[in-house]
Amino acid sequence: MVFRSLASLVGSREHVEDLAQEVFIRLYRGMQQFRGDSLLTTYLYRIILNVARDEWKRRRPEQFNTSLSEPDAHWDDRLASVERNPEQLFSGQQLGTLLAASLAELSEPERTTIVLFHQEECTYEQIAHLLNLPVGTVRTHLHRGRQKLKKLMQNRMELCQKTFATRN
Amino acid sequence: MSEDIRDPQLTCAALQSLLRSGPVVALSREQLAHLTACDACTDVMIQGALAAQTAPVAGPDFTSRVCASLAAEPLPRVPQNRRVSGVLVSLMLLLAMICFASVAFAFSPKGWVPSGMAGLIVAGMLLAEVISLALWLDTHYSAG
Repeated sequence: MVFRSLASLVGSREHVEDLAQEVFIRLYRGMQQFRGDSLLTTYLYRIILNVARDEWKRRRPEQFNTSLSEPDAHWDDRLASVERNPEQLFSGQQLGTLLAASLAELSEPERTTIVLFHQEECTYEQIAHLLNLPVGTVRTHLHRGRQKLKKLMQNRMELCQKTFATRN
Repeated sequence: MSEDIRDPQLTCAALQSLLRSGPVVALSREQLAHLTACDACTDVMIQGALAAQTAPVAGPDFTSRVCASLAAEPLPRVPQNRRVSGVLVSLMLLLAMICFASVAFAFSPKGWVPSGMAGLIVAGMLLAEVISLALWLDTHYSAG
């Protein structure tokens, strides 16, 4: 739960272990103040979101705005194995790479609501409680996020398709 | 759905059924082309891909690293018994107030403090109280 949420929220698996360590340290520090008014998982999710937020602030903004069309993005390299089998263009792993890149382009509330709803299976009410937002706003972020994610994924898949077509 | 889909035999129902059946192993050119043009199928694919994302595996030394970090943390100090602490702190504050309130009487001709020694005694009492309060608080607060 901790590792998966962090990996999806920060869009990278490189420093997830360090971030998870920070989560557990904050949980330990905060246990004295935890009064049991909410579920421990809710408390843990809040810590995860705060750690992810700190990581977003710490990283340079351009790291979260890489695009497949940008020369520095290196998405072609990460999808290099595609050429091995022309019939089966995309593996699940490659789709995961595109998904992570597309998620990273969403705004913070859109990405957070999508990860919590679709991956962590939180309800609208739980997400609203975690983010201190009205349920309607959560629904809006989720809807907009899905629409953007869909467009980003389609654009990336189309671009990949064209790239591979020209290579072959 | 767009008309750009290459394979007319590839239907949304068939692709969505495949995408819902489990994590995507591989997609063909036609399936990819279909996805780039079909919103409904892309929705299903995204939901499946989000659900199928696996967690990074923690390194073998992760637990020991966390434990080492926690061991290095200063332990939070909390009162062992809040009610007793509250009563004793209140008593000490009351004693301090009595000391201050009785200073004027102590200096009067009918006072119980011999002249000349009054300031020394009052200052000594207050100092002793502060020291005892500090010592008492230190022994009655412990690591949680």
